[in-house]
Amino acid sequence: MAVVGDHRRQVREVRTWWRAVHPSPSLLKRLEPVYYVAFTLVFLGPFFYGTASTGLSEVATPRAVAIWGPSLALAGLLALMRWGAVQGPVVFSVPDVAQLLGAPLRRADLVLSRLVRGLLYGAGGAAVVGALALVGIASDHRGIAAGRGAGFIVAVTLLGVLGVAGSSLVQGSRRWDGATRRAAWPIFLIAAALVYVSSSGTTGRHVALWCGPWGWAVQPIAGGSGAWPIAVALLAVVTAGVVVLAVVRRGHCSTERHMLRAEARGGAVAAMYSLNARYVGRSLTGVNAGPTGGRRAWLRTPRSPRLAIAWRDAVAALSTPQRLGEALVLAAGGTLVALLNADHPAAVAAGALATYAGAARLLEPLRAETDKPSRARVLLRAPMGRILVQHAIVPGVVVVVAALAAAVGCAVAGALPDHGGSAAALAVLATPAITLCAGLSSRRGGQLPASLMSVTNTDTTGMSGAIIIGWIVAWPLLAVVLGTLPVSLIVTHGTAGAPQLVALLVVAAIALTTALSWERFAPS
Amino acid sequence: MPDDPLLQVRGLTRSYGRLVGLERLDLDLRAGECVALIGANGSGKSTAVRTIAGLLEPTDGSVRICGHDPHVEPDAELARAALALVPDTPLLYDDITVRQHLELVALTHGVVDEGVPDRIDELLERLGLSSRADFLPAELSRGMGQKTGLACALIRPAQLLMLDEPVVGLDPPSQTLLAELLVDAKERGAAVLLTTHQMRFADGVADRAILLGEGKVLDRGPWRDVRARAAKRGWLPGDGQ
Repeated sequence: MAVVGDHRRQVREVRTWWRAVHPSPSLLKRLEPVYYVAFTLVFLGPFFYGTASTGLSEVATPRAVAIWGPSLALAGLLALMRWGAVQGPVVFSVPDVAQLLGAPLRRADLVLSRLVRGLLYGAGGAAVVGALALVGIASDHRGIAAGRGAGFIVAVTLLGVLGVAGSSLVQGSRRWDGATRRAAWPIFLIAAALVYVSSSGTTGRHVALWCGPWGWAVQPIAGGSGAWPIAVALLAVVTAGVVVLAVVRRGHCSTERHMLRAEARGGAVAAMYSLNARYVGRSLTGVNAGPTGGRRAWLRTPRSPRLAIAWRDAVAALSTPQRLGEALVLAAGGTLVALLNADHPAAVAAGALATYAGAARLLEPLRAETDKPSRARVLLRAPMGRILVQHAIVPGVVVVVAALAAAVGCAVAGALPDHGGSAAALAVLATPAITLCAGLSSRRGGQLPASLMSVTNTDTTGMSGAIIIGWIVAWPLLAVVLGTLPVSLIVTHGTAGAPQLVALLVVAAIALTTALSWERFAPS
Repeated sequence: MPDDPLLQVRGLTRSYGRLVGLERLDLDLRAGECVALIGANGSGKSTAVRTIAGLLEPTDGSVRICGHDPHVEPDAELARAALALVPDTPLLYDDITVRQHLELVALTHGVVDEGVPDRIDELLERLGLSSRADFLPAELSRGMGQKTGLACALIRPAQLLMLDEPVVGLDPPSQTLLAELLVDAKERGAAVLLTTHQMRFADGVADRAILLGEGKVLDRGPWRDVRARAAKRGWLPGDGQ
């Protein structure tokens, strides 16, 4: 038997064999997407440009880039790197892991083409984001010097490449993975601090623009005329260094990590075909969740069977302290934002949305119930609707406590708005209804229902997309309305309508509880 | 050194969070020898095989296959050259046939001489897969899929064969055939490590055994002695009781 010694030749031979078994489509066929993109751009390009220019002219201004740019770039960079914790640029199929990675082929050779492709995709995606931002920045007759515009796109492209190279390192190393996971919350705090620092004055802005690649990347728009080329050059050097490190370490990812990603991608792709967003998320996040990775909390079992579900949810919440902490922070933070900016409806709405997100973080047991309704039917006695309502108790209590603490904190600090007592009471009183909205949204699972799909399939009005988006955002939207309306009305119109608003929230909570317990629409 | 073990495992431990799936396993396996890992469900057999093969990262301890660590690249490449693993569920491509799987495995292992097609035909014939050679995995029964995975392991010149529950899904004649193939492999000088619940199957193949329970080694020694002691203490799963 001849055993081939040349590693690269062996990998090439395997690829040649694979191409012979799976002949690639003709050049014409492969150029088809390019044709469609070019065709679309020629005919719709001016329309897209006009829409982007109008839509982004208010948002992507040079001032906004200077203030928000570094923190957004930092958050984007972190998100790209954390993508390596669940997928990353180099992902094989499950049979590939068994047959190719299980063979005596040099792993670095097998990985290289995928890594290069990932880096190119990262560069391309970032360039598109940069170009879109540039359209907004230059619109409204502001214009921008060609050199700065080109420099900005190059800088954002480099940032994209840096993120993908970083995600490759996270993908291949448990240490990098753990470090970026631990750094996530501190980085979000730093990003928030960067916004504050950038808006505090010239010195602060200089600090934000020079404190790292996230600042360097926005310098062509926000930096001084002589400084931005230096910043882009610095970014290029750092990016090149990280890319070299990623290329050198490309073969070091363990088979186990490759297999976890391969299985996750298989599950996520299958879930995507059935339009099941929840299973897509579960498949991907499953990469980092070991079979017994979580903490186990102990809580004395209640005497009353009525409290069984609440007890089970409390155990689940205590077993995942991070999730509990996030729920508390989101609900308390949301209430703070709403009360401190009560005269700005948009800020109150953002606060309500944060409270909604906090409740949603603790509704995982409810979602698990709807994933497998048969489990509840075998293990539990109560009707499904009642079980689902009971699953909303613990999230509701946590969110109310967090909101109450925030409101009391505001009161103690003397930071309540006009008619502050009523506004704070209504903000807290709205949280049960907000939690129930989150419960009703969670009850639907992650999949679009067949009835909705049939409606959109037979729709001839061109509103299919709007119908689907409406279905997705219906409950969060109702939560935002219920959280915003009472606080804003009290602050702007005084306390005269307070009893009616209290009645509105109580009636809403009762109606939402009834809806959540409605057997007819309970999962079966 | 001819007497050096092909497989050397020292203090191998694998945890899943708080759960210890395998605790401090030591094992030497020499050419022409077969060791069976036996134990009840959840005893750590599959964890042991998967960790030794490099599919799972060890929490502690070391593995050497022909002197190479299967967990550290590029050394692992040499370990993989010596190793053929048959997992409990065959991991096959959806879109290539049984024969193409064997061609691919031969190619990836550097077996590229002119006799390969004949050897593939011979192996397919022996495993009763000739009539399914041009079938896709989706068109095969579980047993046929298992045999395809086995054929993929046998087509390459492996010094160490590792089989995780190889008889699951196989009918009695196929189990007998598998036992014969493993005995042949031992006679050729290969070492065999297998996990099984089927004591009668292991009777004809295993020289030594390690009894695992909750990840720990409960007993070890010559196959017949371990089997007898385990049966006496009521530790044996499946048909061993």
